[in-house]
Amino acid sequence: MMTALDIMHPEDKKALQMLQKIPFIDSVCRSLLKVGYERIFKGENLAMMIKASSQCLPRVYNLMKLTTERIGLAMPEVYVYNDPVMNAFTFGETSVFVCISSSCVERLDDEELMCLMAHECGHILCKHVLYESVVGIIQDIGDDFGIIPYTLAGPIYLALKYWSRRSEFSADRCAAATMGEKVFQRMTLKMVSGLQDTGTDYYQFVRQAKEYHSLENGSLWNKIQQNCRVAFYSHPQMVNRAYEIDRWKGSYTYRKLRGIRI
Amino acid sequence: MPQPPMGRKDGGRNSLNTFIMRPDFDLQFLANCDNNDLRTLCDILMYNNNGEIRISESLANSDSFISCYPHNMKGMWKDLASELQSYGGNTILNFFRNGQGPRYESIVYDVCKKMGVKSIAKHDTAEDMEQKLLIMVSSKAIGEMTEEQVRSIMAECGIVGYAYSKAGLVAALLALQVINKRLFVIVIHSVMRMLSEILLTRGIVIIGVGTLSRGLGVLLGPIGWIMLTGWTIWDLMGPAYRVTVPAVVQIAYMRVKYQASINPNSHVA
Repeated sequence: MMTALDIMHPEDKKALQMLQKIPFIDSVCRSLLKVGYERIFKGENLAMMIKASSQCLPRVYNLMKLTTERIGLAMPEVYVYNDPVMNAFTFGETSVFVCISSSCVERLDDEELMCLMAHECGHILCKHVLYESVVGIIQDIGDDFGIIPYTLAGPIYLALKYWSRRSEFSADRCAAATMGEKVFQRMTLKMVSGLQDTGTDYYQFVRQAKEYHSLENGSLWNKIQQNCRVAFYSHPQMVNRAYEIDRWKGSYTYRKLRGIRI
Repeated sequence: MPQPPMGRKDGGRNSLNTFIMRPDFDLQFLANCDNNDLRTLCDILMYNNNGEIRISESLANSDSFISCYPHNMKGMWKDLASELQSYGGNTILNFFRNGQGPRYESIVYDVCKKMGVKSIAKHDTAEDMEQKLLIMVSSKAIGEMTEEQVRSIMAECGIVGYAYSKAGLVAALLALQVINKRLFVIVIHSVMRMLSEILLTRGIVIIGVGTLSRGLGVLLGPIGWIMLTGWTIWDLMGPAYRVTVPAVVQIAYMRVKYQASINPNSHVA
């Protein structure tokens, strides 16, 4: 049984604390979901995606069941949608669901798919879903109505984006703790490349991360450039995700969760 | 036991991962302290009174924290010392000191001044100032106890030659810090345990659910006394002292304990 405290990345904790200091953010987020977004998306899922069950898409359903059992979560609804881009997401506050693209189901083996599911479950476990959902909503409104919503909601949007990037680290920890860091690294390579076969060197990204960090820290200008570039990302750079898990694998928490002798 | 990675300054992801400890004789003893005491110190440096992680802390995402916390705290004593030094100094001044904070001696001095410890001077050693601080904190804590609780501590510790009263216990503490460090530590322990019991009954009101749910590590240490004895959250929340006051009290306690453990003749006057 895993708890949010076990896996929450300190930067996620800090960002969440800062985020919660924004006046009314909690009630605004809940209200936005309550007025209909959650129901709208659930309706869209039911209308446009395939809901996994023991009879339909049994592999997906059974793997999700196994994953949630390992983590100690109630099983959310799982949907599969048609997309050549490998991706997955989770949404909702009261009725949580996980959507996985068909390419993930096709190209990831069972362990990797469970790792992906565990990542999404990590978001549920850490209760990221509320704020994550609002990031998506502001982005949608911004895309639909142009600059005005972005300008009005700019600071909140950037704060949410910052936190969103941090929250991914926690979800990654959940994935690594559930399936092992090696599987996580393997899955990351496949998700980034979109390929089914990436060879046997699973730690390419960790080495690449070190190269990236020396570039980033090479000068103040490099640092500013890289940080400005990342400011609007919802996810951290993949190399940093691989790197963070590589660091975390040496921790007592990881060992405890993986049942490795301390 | 996993060891902290070597050469972390080069391997760290960014400047947040690097620690530059100012060489400090007064903090070297941390390398030999008890794991649980170091963990308590680490918790004080990392969490606020509500059990929330401090925004300005830089330990939690360090390589050494990841590999050492919570079972191999000696592996990260330098990081703890460095973090304390950083908190003890002005951020801007630290920047011009290559990221290093001031020496521990000046941090203790500032803390004693803040806490109103009398008869301290800048030329006093950190140890002297700590002792005065510890006596002051424990005296306040004793003041919170009932006479019966005080009597039970004195009887349990085998203190003879002093009146079994609050004043007697304070007087004994003052004398023991000089003539019998080992007994001094035992008394401090007993005071602490008694206060922990009191804290458990009052804790939720005083400290809040957050800290309690996070574990009793901080409560069971000297910081628990501070919270109990009237220097409530407001005193600890000041911009410069919210971290250094409890951390210095904890270090003072750890030093006394350490000295008693290495000096078998410490009971000899």
